[in-house]
Amino acid sequence: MLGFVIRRLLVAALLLLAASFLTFMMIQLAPGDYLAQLRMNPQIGDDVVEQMAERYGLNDPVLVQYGRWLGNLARGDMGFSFVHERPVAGLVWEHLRNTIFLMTMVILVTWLMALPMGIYCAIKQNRLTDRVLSALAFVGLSIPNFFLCLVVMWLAAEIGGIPVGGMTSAHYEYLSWGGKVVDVALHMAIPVLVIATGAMAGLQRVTRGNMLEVLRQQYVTTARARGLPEHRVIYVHALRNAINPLITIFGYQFALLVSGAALVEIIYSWPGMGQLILEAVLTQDLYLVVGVVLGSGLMLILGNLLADILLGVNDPRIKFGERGAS
Amino acid sequence: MSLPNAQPENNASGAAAEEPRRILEVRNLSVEFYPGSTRAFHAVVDANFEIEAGKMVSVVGESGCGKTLSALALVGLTPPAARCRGTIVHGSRSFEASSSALARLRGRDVGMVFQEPMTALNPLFSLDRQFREVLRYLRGVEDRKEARDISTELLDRVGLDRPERRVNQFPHQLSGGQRQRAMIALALAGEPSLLIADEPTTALDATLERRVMELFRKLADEGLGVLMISHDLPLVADVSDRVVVMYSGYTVENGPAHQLVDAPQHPYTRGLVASASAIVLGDTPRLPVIPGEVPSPDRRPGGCPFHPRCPEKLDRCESEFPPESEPVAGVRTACWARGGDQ
Ligand SMILES: Nc1ncnc2c1ncn2[C@@H]1O[C@H](COP(=O)(O)OP(=O)(O)O)[C@@H](O)[C@H]1O
Ligand code: SF4
Ligand SMILES: [Mg+2]
Repeated sequence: MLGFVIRRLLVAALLLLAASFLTFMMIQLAPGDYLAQLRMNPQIGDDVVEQMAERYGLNDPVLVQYGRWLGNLARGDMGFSFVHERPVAGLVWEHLRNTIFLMTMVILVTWLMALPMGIYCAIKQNRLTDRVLSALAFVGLSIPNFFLCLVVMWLAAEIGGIPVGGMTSAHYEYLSWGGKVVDVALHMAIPVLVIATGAMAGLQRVTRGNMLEVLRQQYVTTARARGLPEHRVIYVHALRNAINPLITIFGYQFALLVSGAALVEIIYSWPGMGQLILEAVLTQDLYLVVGVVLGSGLMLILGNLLADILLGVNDPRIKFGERGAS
Repeated sequence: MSLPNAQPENNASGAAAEEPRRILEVRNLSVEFYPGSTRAFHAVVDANFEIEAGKMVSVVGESGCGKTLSALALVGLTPPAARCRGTIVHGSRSFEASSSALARLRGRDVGMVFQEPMTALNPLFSLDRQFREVLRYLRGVEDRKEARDISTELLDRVGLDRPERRVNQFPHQLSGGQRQRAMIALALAGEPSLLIADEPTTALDATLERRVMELFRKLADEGLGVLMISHDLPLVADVSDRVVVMYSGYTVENGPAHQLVDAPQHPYTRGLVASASAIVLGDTPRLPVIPGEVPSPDRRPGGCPFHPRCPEKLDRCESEFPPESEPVAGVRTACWARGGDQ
């Protein structure tokens, strides 16, 4: 398995390299750049701008610039953000951490709610509870995230007491340890709820479908015929098989959430990758854009790798490193 | 107890030691789908048969004749849309066929082996784990080592080579024949007195098929009752004591195995024997000797359900169902052309 992980990481590195190159080229070839914006600012003299261009080698050919950036990257230096005036690495890491934090909560909430509901619906197929939950899931699936954001924001404002922006309150620094936890939890509640709604609805439907499919399988009848108690048949024999495809979903849920959550992050000014991406692209903050792409890409790749490893742990038929093993 | 089921359990009434012990009796078993609705139909009608310890009884018939449903009904495993009626006697306990108490017999009194060993064994669990589970729930064996010893012994008993090694493997690592043997061993783990096998060799090639059939015969000789379900009359007749022939949900013939092959009475049984020998002799086109196909139970013709395909059909066959008769001693047949009119 170690060999498999190493191989996957090597491929990932190549992919990220290609992604960084493409991003670099796109930013450079797009009309305008960060310096152009500076030049338009009457308060900044041309000599200051030229000095900057000189310092960062922004007048060199694109390929040379990229080569220099790569060389620095090898030493752990991801470049400098013009806008934030600090190294990109620290900036990306801070926002990445906040996004991972948010996503972990979203995924926990999603799975802890959706799995039991999906299983319950499958077992009670077409009974009243199944119908009600299915209808709710359908509603959850069809509400666009941004609309939900606005509705919830309005509700929160009406009710009051629940923060609807940022990750911490202004007086955060002065709170006790427990107070800090509560403060962050309150700030998270709404973005987590909003992102989890759609994800949960989808996962619940898939779980229900898988479970129904698996419950029809011959080995479930075999397990019953062996005289095993019904809870054992459902929660061990059927569930383990129904979970298999869900693990793959877990992998790309990461991908989905990174992009889907960006919007919610921006609306609720959560200091995560979503904000950083938007800002970096709008200001054409070259190294920051590339840094953000690398950070997000790494997250996707790690999410998928984690899913593949879990899949292999759950299913003995999967041999690591063999393509198309089923 | 190292070899479960190796010996027939002694009946409480020791006097009856010579009498073969009856472990299963099925009386007037019917399986009806969607009862009470307009699309209601009977998939099994008034089935009657019995099995004694040490005997192997086979239920044969083409696909769709109600064999699987009859077997599932014995342990309350018919689909939710079906309603069972009749009486099922397991040993000394008598059950209504509709009773949910039948579920308690699963594994402990009745072991089941299914058709497709590829899909009938949970792919995610090693044999060891599946054995441990059954032994824990059915026999209270908690100790890993003890469970392992019992499993390897069971695997050895069903003729799996190198059982100590095999027990660690997953279903996908075994060949079809090995998988089927593992299934049988797992069905035996609860020390049942009756083993039901639903077309256990369909997925196997001819040589393996025979070897697995011989294994069932061996298990019967060791004292187990075996209910074999098959569409291949000559194959099972060789190893069975009795054969029950089903057609479109009805039991059309029931008699000693060799007699049903050597001197079949019912035209359907004759057809089954003839079509099998046609294949054995290698008559080039493998056309079934019985033309036509089994009617689905919701579109079953009136009278004798076999009449549209029967070469010996009489006038009354189309309107009246034939009563059972005994044209030869020990063979019960439902056919107007075999003394049904007596
Ligand atoms: N779940 C079901 N719903 C409706 N009808 C069924 C179902 N299962 C079986 N049947 C009916 O019962 C008939 C007999 O089925 P089965 O016992 O499986 O036949 P066999 O095992 O002899 O091939 C089938 O032809 C079908 O019409
Ligand atoms: S009852 Fe009539 S139709 Fe039915 S098997 Fe006998 S002869 Fe043929
Ligand atoms: Mg069948």
